[in-house]
Amino acid sequence: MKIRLMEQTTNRHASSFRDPSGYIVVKDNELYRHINPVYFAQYKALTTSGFYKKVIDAHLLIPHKETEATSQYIIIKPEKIPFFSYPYEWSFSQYQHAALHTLKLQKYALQHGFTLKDATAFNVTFHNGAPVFVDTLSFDSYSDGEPWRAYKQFLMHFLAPLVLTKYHGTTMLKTLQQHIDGIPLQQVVKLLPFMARLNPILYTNIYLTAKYEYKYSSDEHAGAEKKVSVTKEAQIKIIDVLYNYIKGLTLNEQTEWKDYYNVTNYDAAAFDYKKQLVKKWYTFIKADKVVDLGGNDGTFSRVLKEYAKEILVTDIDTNAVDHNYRQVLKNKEQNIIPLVSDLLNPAPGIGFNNKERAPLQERIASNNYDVALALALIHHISLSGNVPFNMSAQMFASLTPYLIIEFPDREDSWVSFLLKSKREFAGYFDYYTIDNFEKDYAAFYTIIEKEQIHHTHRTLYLLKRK
Amino acid sequence: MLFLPFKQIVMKLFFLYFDPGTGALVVQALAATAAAGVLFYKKIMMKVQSLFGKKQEQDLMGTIDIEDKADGADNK
Repeated sequence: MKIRLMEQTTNRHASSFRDPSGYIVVKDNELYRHINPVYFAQYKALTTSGFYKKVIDAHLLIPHKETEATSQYIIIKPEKIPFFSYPYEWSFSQYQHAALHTLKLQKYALQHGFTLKDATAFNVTFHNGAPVFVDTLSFDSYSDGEPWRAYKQFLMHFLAPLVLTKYHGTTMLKTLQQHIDGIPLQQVVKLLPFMARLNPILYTNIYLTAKYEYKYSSDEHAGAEKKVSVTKEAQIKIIDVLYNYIKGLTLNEQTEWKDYYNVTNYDAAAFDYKKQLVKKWYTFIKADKVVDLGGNDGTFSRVLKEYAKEILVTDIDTNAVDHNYRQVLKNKEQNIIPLVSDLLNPAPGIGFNNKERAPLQERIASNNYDVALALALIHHISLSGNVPFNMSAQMFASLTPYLIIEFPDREDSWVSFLLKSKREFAGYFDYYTIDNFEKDYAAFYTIIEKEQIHHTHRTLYLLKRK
Repeated sequence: MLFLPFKQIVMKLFFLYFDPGTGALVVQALAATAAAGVLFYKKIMMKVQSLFGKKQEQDLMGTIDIEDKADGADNK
């Protein structure tokens, strides 16, 4: 017992403490889920009824295997998810898809005599080219007339950020980074335009819920156990309507990404040559897993999709990431994860002790990618972000053993545009030369290959960490 | 609450490890009524649209309903 208590604190996953049903333990880089006796009845019902098998077969829930069962605890081993993305790193379509996934699961659960007892967006991530629900212990038995306990959580974690994004743009997709428990509905009401209340779905689900929440949180009603009964059919109607509404949401926001490749500095031949070079070097170093930093819509990392086990493509532009995700769905690409991230401000560690949700850099480094691609990126980091070469080299070196990086020199039209926009301070950026780049990167890397791309002012490097 | 048997209190506390919000539970009856109206309207609109042969857009995220495999069926 003593050993188990020790284990609970030492190896317990930093995100696993909210639900008393069980907790996650990390052992030898593998995840195990310990189930406490308080959840035994539910776990057995979910297993023997065949519900777990059904939701796993339908790709709604992450598969698991039972590894140990005693009278004190049960241990299950869930399928490993190599890279775990968080809601504030999703594009609009990804967020939308995760919300739909949760509703789909709740409807299916209700139809089989169960219900989701929580509906946090952190219970969903992207794996094998689709959203997947990861919390095996989130289900409870459904009893007749019982309303959906996780309804408010669903609104605060999914509906509210999506609706706010519709009205105020993609910056609202990052809501959960600030509000880890979901954005308060009263605040959502303040942020929505007046006209939004004319929509019957928003009126009932957001405005009325906020109003009733306020009413029942006042002292007068505090502690009162109000008996509420909602039939299963009625609950399914709410879920159906929310599903249709969220599925129909669209985003009207233009970003710099639109037609990016039509205005970049490549003719078709140079563009293709760069692709071939990336592929050649990737196979040369026998890489298996790649992270494409500033990878836009995945145009370049997609040439590796036949060779790579895992491809993580990050970009600051949510529309590019969105385009990438829609291609993943359309082409059924299981090994690509698109992710919204600003390299100059990646997602930090948040939540309890700053460890509940891990920083992005840590998640990338711990997933042991073999190589990082940094194509058409260094001039943005150096000239827009003012990050010195030695600092960007150190950052890249903290992530992967190999780096494929493109250096556009001062004659490149993008670089000269960025330099011109510095106006009278352009002189401060005289250090931006290929010689200085090579010198500073040499502190962290050895050059394995180097090739200038014909008809461009750009050089591609294959670097190996020292 | 004081008169609830101990077991029920424990189960309740366990179940409510986060606050579901009384208001959010009460509002579901109203939300369901509105939802019924919305679904009815949508059904009519779908019928009208199908009369005019409106094309459906490519569906990448699927519908809400999952086809249940018959019990004991081979899933492979």
